[in-house]
Amino acid sequence: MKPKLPIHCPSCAETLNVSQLSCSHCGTAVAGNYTLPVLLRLSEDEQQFMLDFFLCSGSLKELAVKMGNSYPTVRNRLDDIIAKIKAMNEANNK
Amino acid sequence: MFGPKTLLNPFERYTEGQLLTVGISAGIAGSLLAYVFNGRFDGVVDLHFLHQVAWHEPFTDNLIVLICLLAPLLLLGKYINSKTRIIDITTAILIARIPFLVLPLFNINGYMQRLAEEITRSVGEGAMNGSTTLEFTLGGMEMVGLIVFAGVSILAVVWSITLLYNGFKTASNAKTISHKVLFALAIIAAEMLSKIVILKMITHS
Repeated sequence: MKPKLPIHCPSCAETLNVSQLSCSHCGTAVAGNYTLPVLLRLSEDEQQFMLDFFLCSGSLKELAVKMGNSYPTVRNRLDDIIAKIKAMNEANNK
Repeated sequence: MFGPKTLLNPFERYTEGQLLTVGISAGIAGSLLAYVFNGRFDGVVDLHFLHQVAWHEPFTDNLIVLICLLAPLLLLGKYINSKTRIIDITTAILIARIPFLVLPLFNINGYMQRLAEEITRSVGEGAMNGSTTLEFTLGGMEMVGLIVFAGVSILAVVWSITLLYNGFKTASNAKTISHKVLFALAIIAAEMLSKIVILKMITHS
């Protein structure tokens, strides 16, 4: 089973930060307090949608055919993700 | 594959080409049914039966209803989301008309028109006699027919508005309560507009 990257705190639901990174080859660990990149803070479904959109060369029509949805449904989903990313960026800049 | 979601919200799945083909075909078939069974779609949520209907009248009615709904809904859609496309609003209206288009079947052999005339006559006589109760001379089967027609008509209105809202929501990405209120106001405006245009057309012809 591929473990899911947790992005929200299971206790208070706030966005998690990265506090440790380690090398799987030599075991070296780096500790610190790093915020997750915006794209990693999206849900798994949203990340998959963005990846599919990228792999369709940004063509919503092609993505709609691939997903079996109508064009406006796919466009609405993209608009919702854009709004979410903008809100995250605004929160970051405060 | 053809479940409740398809019946209530086909706009999420089907392409504009598929929806347009079904909507236009149903519109033509429904207008022909209305011509054969003497029905007139004289408003966004109206259907009345007459003695005689010219072949072009139900087609014109449906076209006027389409335009009267398209104007306010497209304006509202563009206000909510500038990316709203005219084709998506058009298909929402065409598909939402389908539940109404089968209702003329109730007027086979002028059945519903006779019942409507009987009720109008009873109301008129009651008013002239100063009676506070209405006496219908409808038989048991006719009463059942009337109740079935009323029930099916209410279902058609609810189904049609649900389809229209879901189509509009998909086209414009409408979400908030204020969007829903504005949608309701747009439907009322379209109903008033269509009534005025069709009544003017009837009085001029």
